Amino acid sequence: MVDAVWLLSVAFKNISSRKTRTLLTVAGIAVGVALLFSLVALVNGVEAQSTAMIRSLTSADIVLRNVTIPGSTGVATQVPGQWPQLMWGTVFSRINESVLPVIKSLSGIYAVTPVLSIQASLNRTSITLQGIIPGEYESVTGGLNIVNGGDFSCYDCPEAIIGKSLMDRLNITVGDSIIITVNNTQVNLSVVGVYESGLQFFEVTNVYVPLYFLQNITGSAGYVSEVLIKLENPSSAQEIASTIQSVFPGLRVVLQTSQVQQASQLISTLTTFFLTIGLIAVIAGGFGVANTMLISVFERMREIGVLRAIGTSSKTILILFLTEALILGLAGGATGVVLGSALAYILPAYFPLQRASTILPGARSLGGTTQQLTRALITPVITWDIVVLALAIGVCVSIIAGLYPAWRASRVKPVEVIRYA
Amino acid sequence: MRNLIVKAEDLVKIYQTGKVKVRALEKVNLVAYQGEILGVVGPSGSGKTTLLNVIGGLDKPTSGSVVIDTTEITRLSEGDLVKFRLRNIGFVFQSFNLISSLNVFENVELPLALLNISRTERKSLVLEVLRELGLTHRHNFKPSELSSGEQQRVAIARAIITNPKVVLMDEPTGNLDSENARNLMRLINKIREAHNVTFIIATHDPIVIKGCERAYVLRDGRVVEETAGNNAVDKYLKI
Repeated sequence: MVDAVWLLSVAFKNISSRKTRTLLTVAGIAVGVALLFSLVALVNGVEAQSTAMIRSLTSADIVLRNVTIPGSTGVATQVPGQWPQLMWGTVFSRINESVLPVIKSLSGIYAVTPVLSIQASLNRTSITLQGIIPGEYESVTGGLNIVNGGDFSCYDCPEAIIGKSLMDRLNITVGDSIIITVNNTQVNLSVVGVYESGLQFFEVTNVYVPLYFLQNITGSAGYVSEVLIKLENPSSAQEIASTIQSVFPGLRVVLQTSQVQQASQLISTLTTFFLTIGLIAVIAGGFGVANTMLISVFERMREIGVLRAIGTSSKTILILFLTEALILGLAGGATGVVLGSALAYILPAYFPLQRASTILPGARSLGGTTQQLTRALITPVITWDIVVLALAIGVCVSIIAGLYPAWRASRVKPVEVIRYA
Repeated sequence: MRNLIVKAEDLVKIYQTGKVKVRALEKVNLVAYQGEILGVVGPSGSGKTTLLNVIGGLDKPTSGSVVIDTTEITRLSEGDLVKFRLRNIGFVFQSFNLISSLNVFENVELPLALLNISRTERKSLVLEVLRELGLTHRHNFKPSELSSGEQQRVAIARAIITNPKVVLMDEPTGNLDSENARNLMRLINKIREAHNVTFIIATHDPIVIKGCERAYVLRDGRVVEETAGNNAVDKYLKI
């Protein structure tokens, strides 16, 4: 076996002696790998964020929402596949609190709690005020993970529990007062606690206040945005959901498991779609490698002939050309990873904003603006395994593309090319 | 009595292009001794290059045999022939045929690397040969940065680096002026004396022919004369 370091150095010199062509070939692979890499990083991000968001939405087994479109008085007809519209309506839709005792009376219900979500702003930042009932909210969702301070002191106090990320961002601490603007009215709230959700976006955009206080200041007494239901036995969720739906046909009954399934299905479709696009781009780059290497073989016929004449085996020639393909693939792959990383952060800016809620049903319940939500959801996640995957695809495509040219090179008969060169 | 290094017997080489058969070599017999500078002389198309290719194992004869030292190379498989060439035969071509992407050092190092000789030993052997051929100061130059004479010397350095039994040269002065051609012959003599290596040179350059101890004069694929180098010039010029 020939000295591998020497072989690598010769292959590298062969490639670098044709700089322009090499750069173009590397660019061909890099573009494909970059596209593939950025799309996978984005899908990875959507997957990670959506999982965290679904967890953050609520740990309730069933969520009840109104499907009333803002501005309309009636109950909208539910059109299958029109989630974004329904989700957008969630924040503004209202459910009469009178449903609560009815739901509580159904069998199999462990606990029920209402939540009122209202858009507001804090220091010109759009936030969502989440009105909850202390104790009840805890029994359904397990409660907020309060890391600093404590719970509300009463059911209608002007108090707030803010996210840790918001606290860090606005340099607020427990005991401070914050001024919230809601319905063009400024409200002074005292920060009594700080919660952590593990989801930065969620912590920044969601401020918890006592439900009755929020109802009072927004004139929403008797109304809530959604009802969270905890079941005695989660496996009976489908059955109880049907019962609730039959009792309240105008309300939307959402199962937590169906949200996860829907999100996974969409993510799976997205992954397949993006991977296909990326792979097509990489394969196109592979044709570039094949073309470059084939031209290189024809141009270097004489050199190959000389190498064969002085005693280079056809196997060594094959390995030499495959090593060149490997270097091109590695260079293209590495460049692609760098470009792809940049692209993964640039691309979300060009995504249509409402798409976030398409990807994650129920995402609007998380609060924040559509823009904030989309940005939070479409955040690339770059891990070592996708870096390795991108490099491996670049190298594999390059080597496969180099196989035929390398084989052609290894079959060169010195006597023919030296004679006719 | 010098050792016999190359013995070619009854070599016949027929090329077939479509229905046309070309008899490039016709019952050629040739011997070369250790440390000898042997000329193969003849006009274009006389079969010089074909003979060299067959002796060097680059081409198979239609019939006949070639023995180098004690190995009948015409019986070797393609794989064994490649290994044999690497260790025992050096090639120098008319147009030098250096690898353009490698520098002088790397071009000369090539056969040693193929033999998997250690890097330290490779370096020492290459530097020694480059010094011997007056190329030390050019070791880092690419072939395109060298003069024709220098490129030819690099090609010779590459051919002799493995200490082969025979070096085959095909029109080595074809791209050199007469001054460089004389220098080349001086160099070949010097190498022959130092390494006791056999040179077989296909040429029609009178300067080279005169520098050969013996020469075979070829015409239409046949050996028409085996004579001393000096005489071969006259024989060749008469053809």
